[in-house]
Amino acid sequence: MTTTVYHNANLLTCDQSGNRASAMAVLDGRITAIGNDGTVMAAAGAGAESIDLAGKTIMPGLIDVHNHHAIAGRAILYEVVFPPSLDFDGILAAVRSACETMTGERWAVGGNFGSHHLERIDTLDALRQLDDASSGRPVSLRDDSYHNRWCNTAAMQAAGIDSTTLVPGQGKISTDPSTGRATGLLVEAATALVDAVSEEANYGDPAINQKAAAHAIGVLNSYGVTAFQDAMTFHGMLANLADLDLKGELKAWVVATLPAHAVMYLPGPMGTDLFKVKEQFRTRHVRPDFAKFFLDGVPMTRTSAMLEPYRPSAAFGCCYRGGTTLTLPQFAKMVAECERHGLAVKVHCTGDGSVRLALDGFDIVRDFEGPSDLRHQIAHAVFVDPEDIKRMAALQVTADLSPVLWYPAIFEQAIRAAVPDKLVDRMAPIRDLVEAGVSIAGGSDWPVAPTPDLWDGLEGMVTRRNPSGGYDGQLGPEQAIDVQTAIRAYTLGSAEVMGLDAETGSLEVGKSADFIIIDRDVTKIASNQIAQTKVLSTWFEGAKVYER
Amino acid sequence: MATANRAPVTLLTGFLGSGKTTLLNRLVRQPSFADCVVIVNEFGEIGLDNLLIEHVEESMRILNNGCICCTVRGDLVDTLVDLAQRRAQGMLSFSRAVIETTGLADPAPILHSLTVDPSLTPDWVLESVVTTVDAVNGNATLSAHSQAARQVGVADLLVVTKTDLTDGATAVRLRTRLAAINPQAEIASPTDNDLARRLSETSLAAAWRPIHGAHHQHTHEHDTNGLIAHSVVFDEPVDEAAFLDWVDLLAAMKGENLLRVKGIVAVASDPSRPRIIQAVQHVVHPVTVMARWPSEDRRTRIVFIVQGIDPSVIDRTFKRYGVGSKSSAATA
Repeated sequence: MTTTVYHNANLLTCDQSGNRASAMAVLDGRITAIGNDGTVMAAAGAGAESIDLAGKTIMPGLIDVHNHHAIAGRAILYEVVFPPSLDFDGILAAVRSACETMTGERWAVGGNFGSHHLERIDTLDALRQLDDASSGRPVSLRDDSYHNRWCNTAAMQAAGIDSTTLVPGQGKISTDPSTGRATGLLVEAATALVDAVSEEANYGDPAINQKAAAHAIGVLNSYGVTAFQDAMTFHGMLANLADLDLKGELKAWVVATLPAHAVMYLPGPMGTDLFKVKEQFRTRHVRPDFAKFFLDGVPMTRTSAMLEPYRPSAAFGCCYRGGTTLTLPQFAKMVAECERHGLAVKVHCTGDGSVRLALDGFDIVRDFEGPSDLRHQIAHAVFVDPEDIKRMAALQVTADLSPVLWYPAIFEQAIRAAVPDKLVDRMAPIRDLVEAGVSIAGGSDWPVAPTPDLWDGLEGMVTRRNPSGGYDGQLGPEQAIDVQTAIRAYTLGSAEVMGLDAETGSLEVGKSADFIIIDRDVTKIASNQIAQTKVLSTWFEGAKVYER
Repeated sequence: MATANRAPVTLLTGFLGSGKTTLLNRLVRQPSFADCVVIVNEFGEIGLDNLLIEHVEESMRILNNGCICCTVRGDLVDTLVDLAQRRAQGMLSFSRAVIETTGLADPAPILHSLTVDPSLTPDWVLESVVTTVDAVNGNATLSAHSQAARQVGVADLLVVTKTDLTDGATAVRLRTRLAAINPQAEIASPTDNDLARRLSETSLAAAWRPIHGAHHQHTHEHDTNGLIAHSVVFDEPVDEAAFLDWVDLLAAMKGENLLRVKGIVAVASDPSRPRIIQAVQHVVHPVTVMARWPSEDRRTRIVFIVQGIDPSVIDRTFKRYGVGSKSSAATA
């Protein structure tokens, strides 16, 4: 192999000291030297190939601590895709158009409709319109939280459900109050009833899923991502990732998060059954090192577990706080079990009540099991009680943060409809987390977010505004963090909490040559320009995997 | 749960050749066991055949004192469900049961079924566990077989057999060792005339024996196959809710290591009436309230018979979770 020297660059190493350099030598996918042009070229020797970057900015490949790549890939390749901002008639038109062109027994699966439509679609009139648009083909649409589904009559029939069907766990088949008939809105665990059937109809073939995964990773590469943590990795997905890697086709480091319990529909084994076989899927780039818990749902449907009540409503009364999917002893016992399998846990907690339960659980596990090097994560840490911020630091729990979930936008507005303003205004206390010493890591939550654009989240952390400009306002400006801290959350910080920092996350000698060339120096531009950053090319282990 | 008509169960366990069948023979002749059903794994040659008066069917016989004797067909749970059904239908009449386990059995799964299996709990209630220990071979058996130590660990009453075949020093050594494994269990001799009465006195619902010479958080550990009897003694009354939450937590996190937990607990809200707690593995029994303290000693005293954990976990988590904020946490 020949050494390649990238020189005349504005190189942000993103190492612990935030060093800058102008040149980097790469051999066999690893960084062999870094510094100024002269020293790096001298170190590389005469035979080296040199690439003049003409002053362009290089930085480490970005790391996404939270996405659902395979689900996103499937949506792009095979599903009805529309933005959450699409109006009601637009959704029906999208369904009509998709159903007209679809063939075979497949379902029209897709989304994501905005949560603000939840009230309207929860009616028999809306169901009739969806039935009209779908010409008898089963339809299952996700909302933008991914926690709820809107199904037509054919889908409910195919899944064998009606208003009388027993729903497992904390789910609901919503019904029309006057007739008692199911409206087609399925909340939380009830989504499993249709997902199980649509999954079989559309995705029974593993080759389809592998193609979707590879496509999604290509999309991630196009946004500069070279490492990510899949936030809910089913058995089949894990097998696909390992297979891609063994074929030499996996273009990113992937940390897998294995479902610890069934809250929504899970194809294949989960929990201990999956933990027991995880090592057969470990490859050079695939790390099955986490387990996933869902302790609650989402605030817009009032399924987040909150310490203080939601806004009063007819359906929920004056003082509803939601609830957790597991009790404290159940959770603590299961976390201990994960740890015995060498797994850290990523816990979905959108409410401050579930965050508290998770921390109580970690506390108990430490008391009963003693110290551990495993670093657990709380996703999405939207609402966190100030008292619990200190506990997160003490327990070395990472905050997995996705600004798209809280900066002023359609999500934030839907949350505001359910949660009192004084709590919404305190969402995502990132600066407090950082100052308390909590490790923060940035995630896209794609495809809950329409794209895995980490620049959007990075700007959101710095400005507390919606980078698209489509929504005014700033959420908790005092919780803004500086750009260097935000960059760290999308590079080395994420690598550390995912257990990948020996491989990637910064440009340092010995690490994998995972880097991006971008069109601007994000540390030196106006903060409201960060999201405009364009990735010119993405390099994984020294090889170009994307070029604009 | 309908408790009124539940049949109390005495679980009779003990290692191979430790005298279970002999003890069973003796027990079923006692008037208080006259209308019991005896569940055995097989009709032994000596066993209860000498009492046999009638074969009802292949797996069921009537003894000459009126007892019903049946063998386990397949699964013990199925046998118990079948018996309860026959009793409910008036086909059989009995007021209590004795289950004789096989000598090699780990008693914990049977205890677990009796206390949590929803097909059993409406009809059966575990009353006591009686374990026979052979005075001649007991020491060697306890060292060699972890199941034997577990059988001793779960017992309410330990019946030491064959004492006439051994010397005094060996018997004393064995008793010391039994007390180390399970300080809460009573130790009896099979020839004791009041054995049947003591069995019902030892019932799970009310049993509490003072731990003689108990020290604060004292642990006995001998050569007992990793079984440890660990006691927690606490001077101040505890917050009842916090304490019970802690016991639940301990059972959830470390249930597989908890063979048996028994304790008398002083609670701050009702200090004159102690609580009796009992747990077997992951299962915590409903707390019972005693009308008064059995002795002058009004301290909380809990004995944990554990295997495979460091008992400091118990102490540490008790102090953190079990005492509650209302107590002054003045622990030794």
